Amino acid sequence: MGLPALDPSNLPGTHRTRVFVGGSYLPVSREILEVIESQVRSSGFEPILADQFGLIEPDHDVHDVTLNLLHGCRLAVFDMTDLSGAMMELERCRDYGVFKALLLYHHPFRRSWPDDPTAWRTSAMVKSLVREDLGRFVVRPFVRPSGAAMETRRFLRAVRSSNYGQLHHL
Amino acid sequence: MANYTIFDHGQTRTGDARRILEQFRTQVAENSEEFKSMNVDQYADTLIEDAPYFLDRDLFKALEPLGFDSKFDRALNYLSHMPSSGIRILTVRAA
Repeated sequence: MGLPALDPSNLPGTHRTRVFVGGSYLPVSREILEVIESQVRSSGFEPILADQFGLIEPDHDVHDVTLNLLHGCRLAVFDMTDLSGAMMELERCRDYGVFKALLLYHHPFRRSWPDDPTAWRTSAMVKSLVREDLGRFVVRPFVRPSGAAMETRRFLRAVRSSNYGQLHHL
Repeated sequence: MANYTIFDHGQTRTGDARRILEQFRTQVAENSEEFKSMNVDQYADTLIEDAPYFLDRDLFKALEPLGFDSKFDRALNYLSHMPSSGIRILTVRAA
C-alpha cells in the first residue's frame, strides 16, 4: 500500500528548501526520480514529486497543480532522459523564480552536451531554452543511478555554498 | 558464444558480447573515473544491476528469466533494450 497522497494546498518544507523533482512519472523513469528524491532528502532539502499529491480531478488538475507545485520551489532537479511534461515546467522556471535547476540525462558513455551535441536526446526547443539560460540550468549526464544521486548531491552542495545559499541560510 | 552485429550511435560493430562490452567500457572510462578502475566483468555486472532503472518494468520481467550464453550476453541485451542507450542489436549469430 502506498503512502497517503499529500495535499497540494499544504506543502512540506519551506519555499527555500523545497526542491521540485520532475521528469517522466512512468514506472521505468520513476525509479530514477526516487533516487533523486532520496538524495534531495538526505542533502537536507524537501523533495516535491508531483505524483505524490492528491488531485480531485486528475484529468483537469494535473497541469495546474503541477505548475503550482513548481512555483512553490526555489530549486529543481529534472530527469530529462525521456521526453515528458517537464518541458512545460522548464519553460516556467524563469517566471516562477526557480533559482537553479539541475537537468540530468542518462547516457551509457556519459557524453556531455553541449560538447557533444548528440549526447542529450531531447528536442531542439528544450536545448535552445537551456542554452539561453545556462546561468539557471545545469545539465549533467549520468551512467548509473548512483551517478544521478552524486550529481544531485553536488548540485545541492554547490547551491548551499553559493552566495544564494548563504543569503538564504541553506 | 554468439557473434553480434550492433548499431552504436550511427556506426556498426561486430564481435562477441565480451569484446563489444570492453569497447563500451573503454568509451565510458574516458568520461568517468568510476569505470576506469573496472574490468569488463565488473562493467557487465553494473549493466545487469542497473537494468531495472532503465528498462521498462514489464520488458525487464520478460528478459530476466531468459537464458543467455554468458553474463556478457545478458548485459549487452539489456543495454540494447534501454531506450536511452543508443545501442541496438542488429543480428545475432551462434558461433
